[in-house]
Amino acid sequence: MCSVDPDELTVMTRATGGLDISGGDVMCRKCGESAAEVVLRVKDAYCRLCFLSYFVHKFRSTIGKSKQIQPGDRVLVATSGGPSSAALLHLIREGLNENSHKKLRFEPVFLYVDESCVSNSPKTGPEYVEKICSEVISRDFLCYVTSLQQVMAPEAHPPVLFTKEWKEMNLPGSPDLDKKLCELLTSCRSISAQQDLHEQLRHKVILQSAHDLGYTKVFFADNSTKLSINILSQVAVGRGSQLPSRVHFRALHRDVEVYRPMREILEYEIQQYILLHGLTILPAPSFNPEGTSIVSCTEEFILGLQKDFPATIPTVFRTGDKLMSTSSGSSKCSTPDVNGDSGSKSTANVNNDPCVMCGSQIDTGQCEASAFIATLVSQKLSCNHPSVHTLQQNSTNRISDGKSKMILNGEVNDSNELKNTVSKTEDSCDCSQNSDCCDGAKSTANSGLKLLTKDMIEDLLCYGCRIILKEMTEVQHLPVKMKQTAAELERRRHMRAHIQDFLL
Amino acid sequence: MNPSTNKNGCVLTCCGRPAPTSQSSVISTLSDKMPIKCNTGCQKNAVLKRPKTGDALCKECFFWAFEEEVHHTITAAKLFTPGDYVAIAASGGKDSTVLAYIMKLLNDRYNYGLKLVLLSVDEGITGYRDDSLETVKRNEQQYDIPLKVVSYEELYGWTMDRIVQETGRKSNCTFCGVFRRQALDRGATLLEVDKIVTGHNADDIAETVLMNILRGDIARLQRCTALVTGSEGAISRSKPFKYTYEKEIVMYAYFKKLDYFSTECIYSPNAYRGYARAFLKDLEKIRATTIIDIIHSGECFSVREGIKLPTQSTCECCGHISSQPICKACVLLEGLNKGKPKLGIGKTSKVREHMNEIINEKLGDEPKQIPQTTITDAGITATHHNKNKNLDF
Repeated sequence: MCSVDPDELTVMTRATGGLDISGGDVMCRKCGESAAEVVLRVKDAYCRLCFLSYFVHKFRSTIGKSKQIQPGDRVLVATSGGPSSAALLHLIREGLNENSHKKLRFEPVFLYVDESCVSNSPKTGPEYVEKICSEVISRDFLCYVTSLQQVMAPEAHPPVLFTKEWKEMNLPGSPDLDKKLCELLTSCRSISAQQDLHEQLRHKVILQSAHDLGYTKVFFADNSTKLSINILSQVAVGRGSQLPSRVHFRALHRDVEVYRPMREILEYEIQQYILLHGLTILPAPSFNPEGTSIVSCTEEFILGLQKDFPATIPTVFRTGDKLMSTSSGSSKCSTPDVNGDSGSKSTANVNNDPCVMCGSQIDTGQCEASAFIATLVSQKLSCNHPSVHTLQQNSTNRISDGKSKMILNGEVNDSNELKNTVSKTEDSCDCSQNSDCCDGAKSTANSGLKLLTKDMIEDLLCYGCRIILKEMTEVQHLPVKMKQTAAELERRRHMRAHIQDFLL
Repeated sequence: MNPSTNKNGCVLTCCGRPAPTSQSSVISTLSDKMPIKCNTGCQKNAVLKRPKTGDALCKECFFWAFEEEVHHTITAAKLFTPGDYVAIAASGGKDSTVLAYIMKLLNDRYNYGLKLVLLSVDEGITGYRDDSLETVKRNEQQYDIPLKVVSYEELYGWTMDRIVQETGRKSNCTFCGVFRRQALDRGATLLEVDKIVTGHNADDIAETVLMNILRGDIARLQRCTALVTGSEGAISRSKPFKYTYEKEIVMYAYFKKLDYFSTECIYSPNAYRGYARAFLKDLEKIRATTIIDIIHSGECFSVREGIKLPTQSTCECCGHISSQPICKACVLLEGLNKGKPKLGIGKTSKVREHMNEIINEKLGDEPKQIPQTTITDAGITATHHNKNKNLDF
């Protein structure tokens, strides 16, 4: 297998004019026999057969070299009807058909998540379910259907098997859940937060379905272009610590393993493949808000840059491949002496609970000289009472003794209390809405736990999800399950704090 | 741009320029309403909206918040110990002017016990001589901090103008950046300082994270979000402004009436970094906290096992820290002196060939020396540009 020298920086050379094969006189660079039909990487011409074998080889080798998919494995393949999904469907079918030792040896079933309730055209949902699932069935695979609003339900309905006698009412879901989901998404003020939240919810639904159906392995049809855009937009949203689980070939989410077999294939190559095989693309109704968001800006940037510098997407992709995230306890600190308890001082969460919203590791347990703490300090300093100015006199006296750490503690403790007062004025829990979340007793975050405020949930979230939470106008719209888990975690934290001294 | 009013009721945008007339209808409704109170509850009228958090603040509270944040960064990362001799890298631009002011202020207010000196680098780019020199000299006077200037001419025998003549405009930023970094180190060594502080702000660091992802530079990606850089034997550099937005620095300078010289390097437009910068500016428009979010993401990175990273050793020619046998500055200089200006930009194999020839030639001779610096007096002219600092740290 070829590998590019990892030490060499990619020299960013501008693209000069591309190869023109319309004349039919350019020969394939690999076999040199047939006329070229496809141009890849601006200048490389391939004939039909060579291109197809190159494409299939990329797919097979991505799966093969990882040695993670064993013969007989049961795999759930998430499909959306788009180009990558269509290509993946075709590749798997061809792979399984092949006789001889080259045959793909796992047992796939497909899953389609219906998102029509949050799209611009909710009525067309059932129609697309039929179209997409029939396509899958025609290739002789089983297909399950679930819908996005299942994430709001206290007990998710397991995915339904699609059969030829499919009727509209078979689709799991109810108008009540629809409404709740739409409310949740619109309660985020900006489109970027909405898109981020939608992504997390979709992920959750797919993993939940895998769990319900008893599958431990899931395939996503993400291609290289999409992953590169993901890398940059995740960094921009503050989810740098979750990059490995969104981008590597294999990622572990609780007990489900997520694989991305198309990750080395560019979107352009997929389009050529689809053209050559005449596959049908079905653009299903999905969540597509109008306007600029972080993701759309990143997409524009990368695609634009790719035109001028064709090495962009492969480079970004390779960079993402090499990264791991530091665990929350030992993240990069700038303090010269890193003591073990530096993480526990300012933020409440230092243990290994996953983020309640997205399920990934919490990355806010960092030392004082970090970006996260800097944001807390900024917030506090921007909304302080004049009493802080007296703090200045205290600190002037104390610093000369070298007791800066004490001040820091004092300051950040203030911030927690101040945040409580600030957030209380922001959201008022409408007790009539959700009787299962509070008993009508208003209490501070440190005692009682009957009232779920932004503050309490915030401590249980990772950095990226905190940003989403900050933008939400009404915390009570969160899915019921999430709130229950949050309340439970909060209770466990209190228990733990109670017995902290006696735990070995 | 958010309209705000000054004491006379004239409407200013947050950068102090008169608001464009198309916004006049919005502005008239605002000035009819009650003026906004400062968010801290100190009862004064707010005169600005903080780019970082979006809160409306009055002048004094903004100054307070700004200074306290830098103070927090310094103390949390334990950047200094009392008695340190610290050099402030000064280019005459907004970051270094505000940095000099703040260091002096915090040193006095909180008794850091530091001895400060300003250190300037003269690249030999014509067109900036008078103004930026004036700014740095004025800083010297106003803040009562001594000044030292080092120039490329005396260190390497080349000015940027001559280098651009030789190499064209494509890779001039590489030359300038590499030389500048060594120049700062050499100046600092001459002065025998303990630490260097540079004015890199949050925007710079976020931009560097993005650029390193785009270029695939894993090693730098790991290092670039560190507050303190520098390894054994080298003077450590720190960035107190790491979490400070560029806009807030400008705002601080504006309201405190600190003057600085602001212009773009005449050679800069073709740098690849421009793309990352434009992207960052677009992101900032969509969501102002993206800058800190990117830095947070950068801090959470580490490298997978099994990935080769360049190790750091010393240059065989000049003894400076380097990850290759011969440091980049020596390579570039060699290329310039021998009339092969592309040496060092592009294929490393050609560099190795060339350098092996040189080493073989010199085996019998004395080791090659880069011209040593001599003490320069303040009469040397300083020319600077602000936009393209050396961000390869």
